[in-house]
Amino acid sequence: MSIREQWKERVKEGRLFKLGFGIPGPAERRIVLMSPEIAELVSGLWENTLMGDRCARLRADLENYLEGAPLTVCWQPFKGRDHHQIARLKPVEAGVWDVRSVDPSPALRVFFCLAEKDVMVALTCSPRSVPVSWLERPPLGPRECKRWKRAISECKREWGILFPGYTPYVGERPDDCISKAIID
Amino acid sequence: MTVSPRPLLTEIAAGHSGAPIPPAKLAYIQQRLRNRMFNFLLEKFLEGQRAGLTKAALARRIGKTPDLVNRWLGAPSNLTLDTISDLLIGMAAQELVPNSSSPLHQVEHNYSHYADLASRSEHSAPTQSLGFAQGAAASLMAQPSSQRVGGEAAALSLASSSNSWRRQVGAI
Repeated sequence: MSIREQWKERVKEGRLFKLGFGIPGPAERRIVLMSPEIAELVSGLWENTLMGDRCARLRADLENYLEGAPLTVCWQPFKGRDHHQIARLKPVEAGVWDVRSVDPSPALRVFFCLAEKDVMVALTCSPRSVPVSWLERPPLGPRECKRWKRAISECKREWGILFPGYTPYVGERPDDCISKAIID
Repeated sequence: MTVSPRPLLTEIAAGHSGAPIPPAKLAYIQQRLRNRMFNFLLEKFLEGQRAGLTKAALARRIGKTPDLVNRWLGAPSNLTLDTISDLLIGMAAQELVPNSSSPLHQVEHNYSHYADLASRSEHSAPTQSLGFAQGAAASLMAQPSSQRVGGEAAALSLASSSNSWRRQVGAI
């Protein structure tokens, strides 16, 4: 069975959720599939709290990916700067990336893998620097911190549960992975 | 197809005497605007780049440091009305002309990459990395529009709505 059949099947099973626009209009030029953990965050059942504000903005950021917008990509692990919107993580052969949703505080990182070019499978979410009551996961801390490795491992594990025997898509160049990728 | 206001838009559609619009929904709309404005400027810069524009040249033109220009063109949160004005005039000799439209009654776009991939076999898709099963060229059924986000009822595409949690996730 191809990976495409696999992710389609996971959606049918209700184990992955397909993101769409909260307000219709734009074309869906990429695909965002979400684990229940991510789907719950961006589902729109937001309370009038910091959590509601933050998750609403996270949803808008994921919809930006969905829309096919140009994205500033950190292609070399550990070289991420404030302005990168998504980043490839070490080890690159594992195919784990993160969405950097940085503003406002608390900054969040959504860990994801690509099933195919432009097909994001968003699996886990961690706060970047400060503990967040509505996320079970601890803050990631500095880049060298073990919690980063743990978060990457958890993302890989979630992928393995959903797609046993399949590896995430790993491209040679940014354009192999994401259309309209901007590297600087 | 014109869709009626969905739960996200309930308060927005309520008119001047309606209930307060929840802060999270305001934040969602704000972030959409930030992203949209950022994408607009980034596209302008890429257009200029194809015609030889560099960040250094742009910085010189508008009297800023390259580092500052890099930051402005790096993330949606770094923009203000003044920086938008400077960038646009420097990159394209243009100024922003305000316009707006209502999120109510938006028409759903008829292109979905999801439906597109679903209708094509994987033979015509980008090459997979090693480890992916290749052979079967299944013709996958496109999901009905009523199940797509952007469809009237659900913000998330729920292939199965057999439990209450999934039904909850559908609401935005």
